[in-house]
Parts: sequence; C-alpha cells; structure tokens
Amino acid sequence: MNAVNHRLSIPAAGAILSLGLLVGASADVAAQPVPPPPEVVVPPPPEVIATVEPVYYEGHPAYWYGGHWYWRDPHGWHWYGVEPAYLRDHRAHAPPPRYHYEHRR
Amino acid sequence: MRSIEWKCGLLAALLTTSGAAAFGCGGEATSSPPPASPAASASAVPVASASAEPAASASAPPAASQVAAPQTAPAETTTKEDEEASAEVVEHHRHHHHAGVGQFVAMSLETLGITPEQHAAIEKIQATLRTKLQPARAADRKLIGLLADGVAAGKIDKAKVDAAIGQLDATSATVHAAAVEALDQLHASLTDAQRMALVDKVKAHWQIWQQANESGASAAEPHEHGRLEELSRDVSLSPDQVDKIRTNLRAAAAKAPDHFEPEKVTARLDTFGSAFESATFDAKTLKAPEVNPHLASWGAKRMAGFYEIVTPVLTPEQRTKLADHLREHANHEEAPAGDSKEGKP
Repeated sequence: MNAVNHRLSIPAAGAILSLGLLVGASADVAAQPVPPPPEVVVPPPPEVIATVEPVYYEGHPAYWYGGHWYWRDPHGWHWYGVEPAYLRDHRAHAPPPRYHYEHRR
Repeated sequence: MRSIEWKCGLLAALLTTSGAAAFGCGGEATSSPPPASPAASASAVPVASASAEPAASASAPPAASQVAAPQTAPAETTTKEDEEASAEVVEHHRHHHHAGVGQFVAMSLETLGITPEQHAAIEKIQATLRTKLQPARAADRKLIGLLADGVAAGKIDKAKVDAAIGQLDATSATVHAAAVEALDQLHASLTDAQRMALVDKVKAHWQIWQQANESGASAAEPHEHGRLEELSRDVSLSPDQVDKIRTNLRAAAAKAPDHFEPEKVTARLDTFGSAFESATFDAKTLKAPEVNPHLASWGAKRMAGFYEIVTPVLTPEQRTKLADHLREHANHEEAPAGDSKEGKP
C-alpha cells in the first residue's frame, strides 16, 4: 500500500496544484454542446444489393445508388461524400449492370 | 490518503474524458479506454473515404444509445431498368421456394463480380451447387406446374399440391448437407471483400423474400408491389375482381394461423454471415438445417394458397394467361456462374 501511495503522491500533488484551474475548466467543459451521435447510414435497398454487381475498391464491395457509392465494413455501411476517382472512372466506362432474374418482362 | 486517491481518480477521470490526460494515478488512468474522438474513429476509414465526412463519422460502431440516431440517405434516383430489375427479383422470390438459404447463396453468386482468373473455379462450384439443389428445384418446378394446370382448369387439386409441397420440404431438407463441401470451396475461392459482398447479397435476398411472401392480415392489404397488385397488372383484373380476391384473402388470413418464424432464418443467416466473413470457415459447423425446409415449404404454401383463392374469380382468358405465366416460372433456367448479363432482355 505504501508503494502505491508513493506512486500516487507525485501526480496527486500535480492534481492538487491544478485543481483550481480544473474547476474552472470543468465548468467550460460542461458548457460545451454535446457532439451529435454518429450518423447511421441507410444502405441501398435490398433489391439493389441483390441485383447489382459491386465494384471492389479499397477492400470493400461498393454499390452505386442514388448518386453515391455505398460500402460496408465490419462496423456498418458508409458512403463516399466525394466520389473517389477510381469509382468515378469505373462508373463512366463500365457502369455496374443490374441483373434481371426474369426473362418475360 | 483516501481523500487524495479519490481526488486523483476524479481528476484523472475529468482529464481522460476531455482527451487531455497528461498524467495518471499509477497505471490506473492509462488503463482507461481512449476517447472516442472523431479523429480516432476516422483513422479506421480508408484514406480515400476519409474525405467524406459522413463515412468518417460513421466508421466507429455506434453505441447503444446512438442506434436510434436519425437515419440519412442521399436522394434516390431510379431508372425504369432499376424498377424492372427490382420488380423481377421480388417476382422471382414469390415463385421459387426451393432449397431455402441455399437458393439465396446460388442467386447471390450471379451478381458477385468475379475476376477472369476466378471464373473457372467459381463456375465449377456453382455447377456443383446447382446439381445439389436440383432435387429441390425439380420439386419446385413440379409444384408450379401443378398450380398452372389447376389455374388453367379452373380448380387446383389441393391434394396433389400438398403432396408436391411435402416433396419440396423433403428435398430442401437435404440441401445443407449436400452443399457443405461446395460452400467450403466457395469460401476458399473468394477474397475477403467478395465474401463480405456474398453475405450482404444473401441477406438482401432474405429481405426481398420476406417482402415478396408477406404473411398474415397485412398481406391482403394493398401494396405497390404486392402479390395481388402484380397479378392485377399481369391479367388485367377488374376492380370487382380485386375486391373479391382481397376479401377472400382477408378471410383466409383470419382463419389460418401464421406459423412462420422469420427470426429463425434471420438468426441462421447472421450465424452464416459471421462465419463466412471470417478467415476460416467450416460449413459443417453451421447448425439449424431445418431452416431450409421451413423457408421452402412455407413460401410454397403461401404461393399455392394465393392461387387457390384467385383461380375461381378469374375469367377463362385470365386463367389461360396466368397459367402461361406460371409455366414460364416453372421453366425458368438459372444463369451460368458469374454471368450477370444472362437473363437480360
């Protein structure tokens, strides 16, 4: 316990010296607006994912939908706010085809 | 001393929370998790995507309290071809119920996007899958043929249809064991990104299947791409016919209890997805093979029940048209591996 107390003494002294500053700082922190929660991106509809061949880019399958490229990683779905040059070129020269599961239409 | 320890702990907590912890209490403070700052979450985003603010901010897994955050999506733009392709995949899932999840995997391969170097290997795997799914596919074809005959004749033979559904159930139950080796080979042949795409596609097919085979009272209510609405467009139903069929669908939904358990399928697909996206995969370890017959027979019963209700209301001309339509489904051939142009008009 003594060793623990000794290890604590230096930072604890620093903490005491900084206490007045921190009290004021903590008031400022409390006044900060709460940052907005992370955006939950809605992926393309299942009909798109099921019928469109993805473009593989940066180790992810990417889907062009609604004017944006969407991609997923283990954390969830994302979209590129600025279209990467590779995907823009791919879309211009070889737009991802839609697969048609029925012949009759 | 306890007082000092408490103050130190409080200070460390304050400083850590503000992201400016310059010192700590022994090793305690440094064992606290790092702040979840935007910079920290952006570091997990590929370089090219880091410029996109929405992507950067969404790259960290949302906390439980953040799951309900407002969802955003850019404005949708669809073409006529998009709408046709979307309607067709719904139509496909409305009429083909063989093999359950195995069918979703086989369908997903058609749009996976494979390299020329992979083509031969994937084509071989898909041919194997097709062979393993063939008994279920034949049972599916037989069922649709029976329904077509019944519609054309003005009366569906329920005993024969029930026997065909039983056969579909039995053949679909064998699919998982038969396809284990092919699934393992598929996993070994695909890149990490392709495996991720396959899982997304399988889950997308499951979502579409649920939409196409909606059950219960809500299935009888109007939907833009509902089963009755599609039939109405296909055979030009009169408003009176639509009303009569809808009334009968509501009555049938009220009378027949709904035994479908979609959560079982979802759980199975979640298990499959996690396993298939991993570096190692063994299809033998996947449990719940009963999901395939559950999915196949339930979908088939929904389809048969719908045509049993519809048939007496149709005119002879409409019945002929519908029977032809069903026979087209019965004879629908699946595309070769990776050929996304097959099936295009």
